[in-house]
Amino acid sequence: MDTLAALVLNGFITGAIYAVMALGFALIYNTTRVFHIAHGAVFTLAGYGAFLARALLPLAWVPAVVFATIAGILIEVLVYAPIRRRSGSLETYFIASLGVYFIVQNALQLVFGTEARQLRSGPFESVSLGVISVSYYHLLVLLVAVVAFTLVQLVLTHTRTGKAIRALADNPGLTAALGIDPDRLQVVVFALGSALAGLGAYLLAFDLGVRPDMGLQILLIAAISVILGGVGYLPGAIIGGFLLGLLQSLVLLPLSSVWQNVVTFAVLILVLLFRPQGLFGGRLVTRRA
Amino acid sequence: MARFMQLAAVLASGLVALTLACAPQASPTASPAAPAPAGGSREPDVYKIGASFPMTGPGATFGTFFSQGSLLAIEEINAAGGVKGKQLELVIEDNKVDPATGVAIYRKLVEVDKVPIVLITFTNVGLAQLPIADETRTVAFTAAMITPGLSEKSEWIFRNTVGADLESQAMAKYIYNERGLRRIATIFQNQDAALAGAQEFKRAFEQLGGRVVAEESYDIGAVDLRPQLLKVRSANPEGIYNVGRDASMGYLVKQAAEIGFRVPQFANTSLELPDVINAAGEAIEGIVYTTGALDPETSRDFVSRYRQRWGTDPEVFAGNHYDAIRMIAKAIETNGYTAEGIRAGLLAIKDFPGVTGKTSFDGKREATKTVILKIFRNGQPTFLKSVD
Repeated sequence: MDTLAALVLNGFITGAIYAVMALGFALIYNTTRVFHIAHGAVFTLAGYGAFLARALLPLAWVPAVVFATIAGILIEVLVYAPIRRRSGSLETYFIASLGVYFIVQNALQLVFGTEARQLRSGPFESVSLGVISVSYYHLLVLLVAVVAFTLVQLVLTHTRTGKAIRALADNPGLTAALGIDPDRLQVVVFALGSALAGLGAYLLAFDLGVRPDMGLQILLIAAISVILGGVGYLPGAIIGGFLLGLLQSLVLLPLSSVWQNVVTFAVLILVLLFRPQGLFGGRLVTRRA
Repeated sequence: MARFMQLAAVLASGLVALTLACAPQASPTASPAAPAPAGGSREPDVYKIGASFPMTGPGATFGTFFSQGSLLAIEEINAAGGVKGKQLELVIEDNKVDPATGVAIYRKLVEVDKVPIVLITFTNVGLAQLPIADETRTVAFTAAMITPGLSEKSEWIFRNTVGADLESQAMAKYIYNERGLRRIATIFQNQDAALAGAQEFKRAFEQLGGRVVAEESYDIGAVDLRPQLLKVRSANPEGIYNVGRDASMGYLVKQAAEIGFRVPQFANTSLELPDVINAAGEAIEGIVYTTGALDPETSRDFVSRYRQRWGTDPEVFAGNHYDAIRMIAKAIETNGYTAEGIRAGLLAIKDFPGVTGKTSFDGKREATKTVILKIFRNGQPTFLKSVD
C-alpha cells in the first residue's frame, strides 16, 4: 500500500515537469500550428542557462526563464516568421524546427561536452509523510507547477493579450479582422510558451543536472501529453502530462521496468486509434465537425 | 478533426525524420568481396592502429578516457623513436555507441586505412564488429568491453580489461561472505554489459546460497529511478546491487536517499565516473564497488604523466588503453605489422608490466587481471581489498 502511495506521489512529481513542458508546447501549437520540435532546444538552452548561473542558486531560475524566452522569440522571428511569410507547409516548419533542435544540441555539445553537468550535488533533505518519504524540493516542484498553471490561466482569461491569444487559437482569420496583429501575438505566444519550458528545465536541472540531449526525450513526452489530453484544449496538456507521469510510475506495479517506455508509446497508439481527439478533446471536435 | 490528422501526419513524419537524423551518416559499401589482407606485403611508412571509440553521444565520457590513454602511450613511444624506427599513429573513428556506425567504421579502418588491428569498445558496438574482424582477418582488441564469453565470439578478439563476470562474482562473494547479507535486489541499466553483469551476479550469489529478491532495469539516459527503487523496496532486500555505466547510477544513489530507502548499496566499476560521483553527492559515502584498477606500484609515474598531459586524473580504462597500445607496439616489434604477426606477438606476451598490473593473455586471449574492491570514504574512492 505504501508502495502504491509512493508511486502515485512520484508520478505527480515527474508529471508536474511533463505538464509544464506540455502546456508550453500546447500554447504554441494551438495558436501557431507549428509542431515546435525546437521547444526541446529551448528547454536544453534554459538548462544550460541555469547551469552557467549555478552560483546564484536558487535564483538560477531567472536566467533559465530569460534564456528560454529569448531563444523562443528568436526562433519564431528568425525561423518561423520567414517561413510563414512564404506560406511554407507544415513539413517546412517541422524540418526547420528539427534543424534548429540539432544545431543547438550539437553547439552545446561542442561548448560543454556530452557528459551530464550537475548544478548541485547529492540528495535533497526529505520529509517523512507517514509511511512515505519525499524530498522538500520535489514538493516544491509540485507547488511551483501549480502556481505556474494558475498564472497562465489568469493571463489567458483576464488580460487583453491573453484573450487575443485564445481568439487566435480559435480562428486566426478573425483576429486579423478584429484589428489584432497576429505576427506580434505569435511572438508573445512563443515568449510565454518558452518561459514555461525555461521553468521546466530549471526544475529538472536543479535536481538532475543538464545534458546536451536532455530536450528531445521530454519534447516527445510533451507532444504525447498534448495528444493524450486533447489537441486544442490547454488544460488537456496539463492533465496529459500528469497522466504520463503517473503511468510511467505506476506501470512498474504490475510489470517489469523494461515495459516503461513501451507502455508510454502503446498508450499513444491506443489513443490515436480509438480516441484521436484525445481524452478531453471532445469539445473541440464536436464544435469543428 | 482535420487539424488533428495534420498533427498526426506531422508527428509520424517527425518520428521518421528523427530516426533518419539519429542514424549514422556513413554506410558500409555493399561489395565486401575479398578485402585485401590488412597490412599487406608492402611495408607502410607509419604503423597505423585503428580505434572505434565513442567520441560523441552517451559514451563520450568513456571515449575521452580511451583516447587519452591510447594517445599518451603513442606519444611516448614515438618520442622514444617509435617501433622498428617507424612512428605509430592512432586513427580514431567515432562509433557513437551505435552498432551500425561501428560496422561502417570498422570496414573503413580496415579497407581505407589498411590497419591490421582495431581497438574496439562498448559491447553493443563491438559485438557487431566481430564478424568483420573474422571476415577481414584483423585483430579486434578491446580494453573496454566487459561482457562475458567474448572469446567464443571470434578467433581474433583480445581483451585487456576485467570482465563483468569477474566483477559480479567478486561482488557476490563479498556481499555473501563478508557482509553476511542474503537478500539482494539488482537495479541495472538496460544495456548488454550491465545486463550481463546483473545476471552473472544473480547466478553467483544464488549459487552461494543467497537470493536476488528483485530485479529492475532502466533505459540509457534515465533520470527518474524512483519507481524502480520503490518497487524493489517492496521486496524487502537487505542491499542493492547498482549496475550501470553512466550518471544514472548516481541518480539511483541520490534518489534512494531521498525516498528514505537506506539499505547498503554495492556497485560496479562505473561508480567512480565523475558524472556519477557528482550526481550522487554525499550519498555515495560507504558504497563498495568493484573495479579493475591502476596498480598503485607501477602506475605512479603514469598517473603524473597523464595528469600533466591531459589535466585530469586517469581512470582505469585509460590505463587499460595505455597498456594495450604498449603491448601492441611490443607485438609489432617482435612479430611484425600484420594481423597474424600482432596476434602471435600478443599471445607470446607474459607478465607484461602494465600500469593496470602484470598482464598475460590466457588461451582464450583474455588478460588475467585482479578485481579490486573499493569503498567511498570521506568522498574519496579508497582501496578496500583485492580479490583473485
